[in-house]
Amino acid sequence: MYSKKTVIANATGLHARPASDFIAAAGKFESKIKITRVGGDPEEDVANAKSIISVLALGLAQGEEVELSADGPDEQQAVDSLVALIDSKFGE
Amino acid sequence: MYPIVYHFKSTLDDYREMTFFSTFSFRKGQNIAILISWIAGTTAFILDLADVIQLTQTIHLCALMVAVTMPMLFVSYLTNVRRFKVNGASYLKKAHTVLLGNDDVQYKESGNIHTGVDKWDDIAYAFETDHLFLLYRTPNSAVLLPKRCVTEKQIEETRICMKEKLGVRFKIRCRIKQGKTQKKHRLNKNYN
Repeated sequence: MYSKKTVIANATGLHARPASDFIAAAGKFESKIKITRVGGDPEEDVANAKSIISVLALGLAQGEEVELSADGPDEQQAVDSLVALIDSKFGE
Repeated sequence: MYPIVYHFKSTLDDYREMTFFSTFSFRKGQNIAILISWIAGTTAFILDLADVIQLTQTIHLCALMVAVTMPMLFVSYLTNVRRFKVNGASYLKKAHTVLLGNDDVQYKESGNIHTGVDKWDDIAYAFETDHLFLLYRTPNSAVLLPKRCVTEKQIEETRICMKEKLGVRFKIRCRIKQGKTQKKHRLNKNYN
Protein backbone atom coordinates (compact mmCIF):
# COMPACT_ATOMS: atom_id res chain seq x y z
CA MET A 1 0.00 0.00 0.00
CA TYR A 2 1.37 3.37 -1.03
CA SER A 3 -0.30 6.75 -0.37
CA LYS A 4 0.31 10.45 -0.82
CA LYS A 5 -1.53 13.66 0.01
CA THR A 6 -2.12 16.65 -2.22
CA VAL A 7 -4.42 19.65 -2.55
CA ILE A 8 -6.96 20.19 -5.35
CA ALA A 9 -5.51 23.20 -7.12
CA ASN A 10 -7.71 23.86 -10.15
CA ALA A 11 -10.46 26.47 -9.85
CA THR A 12 -13.45 24.24 -10.69
CA GLY A 13 -12.39 21.43 -8.35
CA LEU A 14 -12.72 17.82 -9.42
CA HIS A 15 -15.72 18.44 -11.66
CA ALA A 16 -16.90 16.69 -14.82
CA ARG A 17 -13.98 17.23 -17.20
CA PRO A 18 -11.11 16.97 -14.68
CA ALA A 19 -12.82 13.93 -13.13
CA SER A 20 -13.02 12.27 -16.57
CA ASP A 21 -9.28 12.89 -17.08
CA PHE A 22 -8.60 11.63 -13.56
CA ILE A 23 -10.43 8.31 -13.95
CA ALA A 24 -8.96 7.81 -17.42
CA ALA A 25 -5.50 8.17 -15.87
CA ALA A 26 -6.41 5.89 -12.93
CA GLY A 27 -7.77 3.26 -15.33
CA LYS A 28 -4.33 2.75 -16.86
CA PHE A 29 -3.06 1.12 -13.66
CA GLU A 30 -3.72 -2.36 -12.35
CA SER A 31 -3.66 -1.38 -8.67
CA LYS A 32 -6.78 -0.64 -6.66
CA ILE A 33 -6.77 3.12 -6.15
CA LYS A 34 -8.73 5.14 -3.61
CA ILE A 35 -9.15 8.87 -3.22
CA THR A 36 -10.08 10.17 0.23
CA ARG A 37 -11.04 13.65 1.44
CA VAL A 38 -8.63 14.43 4.30
CA GLY A 39 -10.54 15.26 7.47
CA GLY A 40 -13.81 13.92 6.04
CA ASP A 41 -16.01 11.05 7.12
CA PRO A 42 -13.88 7.87 6.82
CA GLU A 43 -16.83 5.95 5.36
CA GLU A 44 -18.52 8.58 3.19
CA ASP A 45 -15.57 10.56 1.88
CA VAL A 46 -13.73 7.73 0.19
CA ALA A 47 -14.08 6.86 -3.48
CA ASN A 48 -12.86 4.32 -5.95
CA ALA A 49 -10.60 6.40 -8.20
CA LYS A 50 -11.63 4.36 -11.25
CA SER A 51 -15.34 5.13 -10.90
CA ILE A 52 -16.34 8.54 -12.24
CA ILE A 53 -19.62 8.63 -10.31
CA SER A 54 -17.83 7.87 -7.01
CA VAL A 55 -15.21 10.54 -7.66
CA LEU A 56 -17.83 13.13 -8.65
CA ALA A 57 -19.95 12.25 -5.61
CA LEU A 58 -17.10 13.45 -3.38
CA GLY A 59 -17.71 16.94 -4.79
CA LEU A 60 -14.09 17.97 -4.28
CA ALA A 61 -13.55 21.71 -4.50
CA GLN A 62 -10.47 23.87 -4.92
CA GLY A 63 -8.27 23.95 -1.83
CA GLU A 64 -9.47 20.63 -0.39
CA GLU A 65 -6.81 18.17 0.69
CA VAL A 66 -7.07 14.62 -0.61
CA GLU A 67 -5.15 11.44 -0.02
CA LEU A 68 -4.51 9.02 -2.84
CA SER A 69 -3.73 5.45 -1.91
CA ALA A 70 -3.10 2.45 -4.10
CA ASP A 71 -2.62 -1.22 -3.53
CA GLY A 72 -1.16 -3.44 -6.23
CA PRO A 73 1.80 -4.11 -8.50
CA ASP A 74 2.10 -0.53 -9.82
CA GLU A 75 0.91 1.31 -6.69
CA GLN A 76 3.72 3.86 -6.43
CA GLN A 77 3.62 4.74 -10.12
CA ALA A 78 -0.20 5.09 -9.96
CA VAL A 79 -0.24 7.42 -6.95
CA ASP A 80 2.66 9.56 -8.19
CA SER A 81 1.10 9.90 -11.62
CA LEU A 82 -2.34 10.90 -10.23
CA VAL A 83 -0.83 13.37 -7.75
CA ALA A 84 1.12 14.93 -10.61
CA LEU A 85 -2.11 15.19 -12.63
CA ILE A 86 -3.91 16.96 -9.77
CA ASP A 87 -0.93 19.27 -9.22
CA SER A 88 -0.91 20.14 -12.93
CA LYS A 89 -4.44 21.60 -12.44
CA PHE A 90 -5.66 19.34 -15.25
CA GLY A 91 -4.36 21.78 -17.81
CA GLU A 92 -6.65 24.64 -16.70
CA MET B 1 -20.64 17.88 -23.44
CA TYR B 2 -20.58 14.54 -21.57
CA PRO B 3 -20.71 13.76 -18.73
CA ILE B 4 -23.34 16.16 -17.39
CA VAL B 5 -23.22 16.09 -13.62
CA TYR B 6 -26.00 16.83 -11.12
CA HIS B 7 -24.81 17.01 -7.52
CA PHE B 8 -27.62 18.00 -5.18
CA LYS B 9 -29.74 17.53 -2.09
CA SER B 10 -33.45 17.15 -2.75
CA THR B 11 -35.98 19.40 -1.07
CA LEU B 12 -39.62 18.88 -0.18
CA ASP B 13 -40.54 21.31 -2.97
CA ASP B 14 -38.76 19.05 -5.50
CA TYR B 15 -40.74 16.06 -4.27
CA ARG B 16 -43.97 18.10 -4.28
CA GLU B 17 -43.43 19.18 -7.90
CA MET B 18 -42.56 15.64 -8.98
CA THR B 19 -45.60 14.14 -7.23
CA PHE B 20 -47.92 16.82 -8.63
CA PHE B 21 -46.56 16.13 -12.10
CA SER B 22 -46.88 12.34 -11.72
CA THR B 23 -50.46 12.67 -10.45
CA PHE B 24 -51.87 15.27 -12.82
CA SER B 25 -49.62 15.79 -15.81
CA PHE B 26 -47.95 12.47 -16.60
CA ARG B 27 -50.37 11.68 -19.42
CA LYS B 28 -51.59 15.02 -20.63
CA GLY B 29 -54.33 13.73 -22.98
CA GLN B 30 -55.74 11.42 -20.32
CA ASN B 31 -55.85 14.20 -17.75
CA ILE B 32 -57.58 16.62 -20.12
CA ALA B 33 -60.21 13.93 -20.72
CA ILE B 34 -60.58 13.41 -16.93
CA LEU B 35 -60.89 17.18 -16.39
CA ILE B 36 -63.60 17.56 -19.06
CA SER B 37 -65.51 14.52 -17.70
CA TRP B 38 -65.16 15.91 -14.19
CA ILE B 39 -66.56 19.32 -15.15
CA ALA B 40 -69.45 17.67 -17.06
CA GLY B 41 -70.13 15.10 -14.30
CA THR B 42 -69.99 17.64 -11.46
CA THR B 43 -72.21 20.11 -13.34
CA ALA B 44 -74.78 17.39 -14.08
CA PHE B 45 -74.68 16.19 -10.47
CA ILE B 46 -75.18 19.71 -9.05
CA LEU B 47 -77.93 20.58 -11.54
CA ASP B 48 -79.69 17.33 -10.64
CA LEU B 49 -79.42 18.11 -6.92
CA ALA B 50 -80.84 21.59 -7.57
CA ASP B 51 -83.72 20.01 -9.57
CA VAL B 52 -82.79 21.99 -12.69
CA ILE B 53 -82.44 18.75 -14.65
CA GLN B 54 -83.56 15.23 -13.84
CA LEU B 55 -81.18 12.33 -14.20
CA THR B 56 -82.04 8.65 -13.83
CA GLN B 57 -80.64 6.97 -10.74
CA THR B 58 -77.91 5.20 -12.72
CA ILE B 59 -76.71 8.38 -14.47
CA HIS B 60 -76.90 10.24 -11.15
CA LEU B 61 -74.60 7.62 -9.62
CA CYS B 62 -72.21 7.83 -12.60
CA ALA B 63 -72.12 11.63 -12.34
CA LEU B 64 -71.36 11.32 -8.61
CA MET B 65 -68.49 8.91 -9.31
CA VAL B 66 -67.03 11.22 -11.95
CA ALA B 67 -67.42 14.21 -9.62
CA VAL B 68 -65.24 12.62 -6.95
CA THR B 69 -62.38 11.65 -9.35
CA MET B 70 -60.48 14.93 -9.27
CA PRO B 71 -60.77 15.49 -5.51
CA MET B 72 -59.59 11.91 -5.01
CA LEU B 73 -56.53 12.50 -7.21
CA PHE B 74 -55.79 15.65 -5.23
CA VAL B 75 -56.16 13.80 -1.91
CA SER B 76 -53.82 11.07 -3.20
CA TYR B 77 -51.26 13.76 -4.12
CA LEU B 78 -51.52 15.36 -0.66
CA THR B 79 -51.27 11.95 1.03
CA ASN B 80 -48.10 11.08 -0.90
CA VAL B 81 -46.46 14.40 0.02
CA ARG B 82 -47.47 13.99 3.66
CA ARG B 83 -46.13 10.42 3.73
CA PHE B 84 -42.83 11.64 2.28
CA LYS B 85 -42.65 14.42 4.90
CA VAL B 86 -42.85 11.77 7.63
CA ASN B 87 -40.67 9.04 6.09
CA GLY B 88 -38.38 10.93 3.74
CA ALA B 89 -36.27 12.90 6.23
CA SER B 90 -33.21 10.69 5.74
CA TYR B 91 -33.56 10.93 1.95
CA LEU B 92 -33.56 14.74 2.12
CA LYS B 93 -30.34 14.76 4.17
CA LYS B 94 -28.38 12.76 1.59
CA ALA B 95 -26.41 14.24 -1.26
CA HIS B 96 -27.19 12.73 -4.64
CA THR B 97 -24.96 12.59 -7.67
CA VAL B 98 -26.42 11.78 -11.07
CA LEU B 99 -24.23 11.57 -14.10
CA LEU B 100 -25.70 11.73 -17.59
CA GLY B 101 -23.14 9.98 -19.75
CA ASN B 102 -22.91 9.10 -23.40
CA ASP B 103 -23.93 5.47 -22.80
CA ASP B 104 -25.82 5.47 -19.53
CA VAL B 105 -27.12 7.30 -16.47
CA GLN B 106 -25.26 6.67 -13.20
CA TYR B 107 -26.50 7.34 -9.67
CA LYS B 108 -24.78 7.65 -6.32
CA GLU B 109 -26.12 8.55 -2.90
CA SER B 110 -23.90 9.79 -0.07
CA GLY B 111 -23.34 7.16 2.60
CA ASN B 112 -24.09 4.34 0.16
CA ILE B 113 -21.11 2.59 -1.40
CA HIS B 114 -23.25 1.13 -4.18
CA THR B 115 -23.82 2.97 -7.41
CA GLY B 116 -26.67 2.52 -9.84
CA VAL B 117 -26.51 2.44 -13.61
CA ASP B 118 -29.28 2.58 -16.21
CA LYS B 119 -28.74 2.34 -19.93
CA TRP B 120 -30.54 5.09 -21.85
CA ASP B 121 -32.79 2.41 -23.35
CA ASP B 122 -34.00 1.54 -19.83
CA ILE B 123 -35.39 5.05 -19.30
CA ALA B 124 -39.07 4.87 -20.24
CA TYR B 125 -39.86 8.60 -20.34
CA ALA B 126 -38.30 11.90 -19.37
CA PHE B 127 -39.99 15.22 -18.79
CA GLU B 128 -38.84 18.75 -18.21
CA THR B 129 -40.95 20.78 -15.79
CA ASP B 130 -40.44 24.32 -14.50
CA HIS B 131 -37.78 23.37 -11.96
CA LEU B 132 -36.91 19.73 -12.66
CA PHE B 133 -35.92 17.10 -15.17
CA LEU B 134 -37.70 13.83 -14.38
CA LEU B 135 -36.40 10.49 -15.60
CA TYR B 136 -38.97 7.69 -15.32
CA ARG B 137 -37.75 4.12 -15.29
CA THR B 138 -41.33 2.96 -14.64
CA PRO B 139 -44.48 5.07 -14.25
CA ASN B 140 -43.98 4.80 -10.45
CA SER B 141 -40.24 5.29 -10.19
CA ALA B 142 -38.60 8.55 -11.20
CA VAL B 143 -35.24 10.20 -10.71
CA LEU B 144 -35.44 13.94 -10.25
CA LEU B 145 -32.77 16.36 -11.38
CA PRO B 146 -33.23 19.85 -9.95
CA LYS B 147 -32.37 22.64 -12.39
CA ARG B 148 -31.32 24.90 -9.52
CA CYS B 149 -28.09 22.92 -8.99
CA VAL B 150 -26.72 23.50 -12.49
CA THR B 151 -26.01 26.43 -14.76
CA GLU B 152 -28.21 27.63 -17.64
CA LYS B 153 -25.67 26.13 -20.05
CA GLN B 154 -25.92 22.71 -18.37
CA ILE B 155 -29.72 22.87 -18.52
CA GLU B 156 -29.49 23.44 -22.26
CA GLU B 157 -26.98 20.57 -22.55
CA THR B 158 -29.31 18.28 -20.59
CA ARG B 159 -32.15 19.15 -22.96
CA ILE B 160 -29.96 18.35 -25.99
CA CYS B 161 -28.78 15.12 -24.34
CA MET B 162 -32.36 13.96 -23.58
CA LYS B 163 -33.54 14.75 -27.11
CA GLU B 164 -30.58 12.86 -28.54
CA LYS B 165 -30.83 9.80 -26.27
CA LEU B 166 -34.59 9.50 -25.78
CA GLY B 167 -36.10 11.15 -28.84
CA VAL B 168 -39.90 11.23 -28.55
CA ARG B 169 -39.72 9.76 -25.05
CA PHE B 170 -38.53 13.17 -23.81
CA LYS B 171 -41.20 15.82 -23.47
CA ILE B 172 -40.96 19.42 -22.37
CA ARG B 173 -43.81 20.46 -20.09
CA CYS B 174 -42.77 24.01 -19.29
CA ARG B 175 -41.94 27.26 -20.99
CA ILE B 176 -38.29 27.33 -21.96
CA LYS B 177 -36.39 30.52 -21.34
CA GLN B 178 -34.72 31.48 -24.58
CA GLY B 179 -30.96 31.23 -24.09
CA LYS B 180 -28.58 34.00 -25.07
CA THR B 181 -27.08 31.90 -27.87
CA GLN B 182 -30.52 31.14 -29.33
CA LYS B 183 -31.47 34.84 -29.17
CA LYS B 184 -28.21 35.78 -30.84
CA HIS B 185 -28.78 33.16 -33.53
CA ARG B 186 -32.29 34.47 -34.21
CA LEU B 187 -31.04 38.08 -34.34
CA ASN B 188 -28.34 37.12 -36.82
CA LYS B 189 -30.88 35.23 -38.92
CA ASN B 190 -33.18 38.27 -39.02
CA TYR B 191 -30.27 40.55 -39.82
CA ASN B 192 -29.12 38.38 -42.73
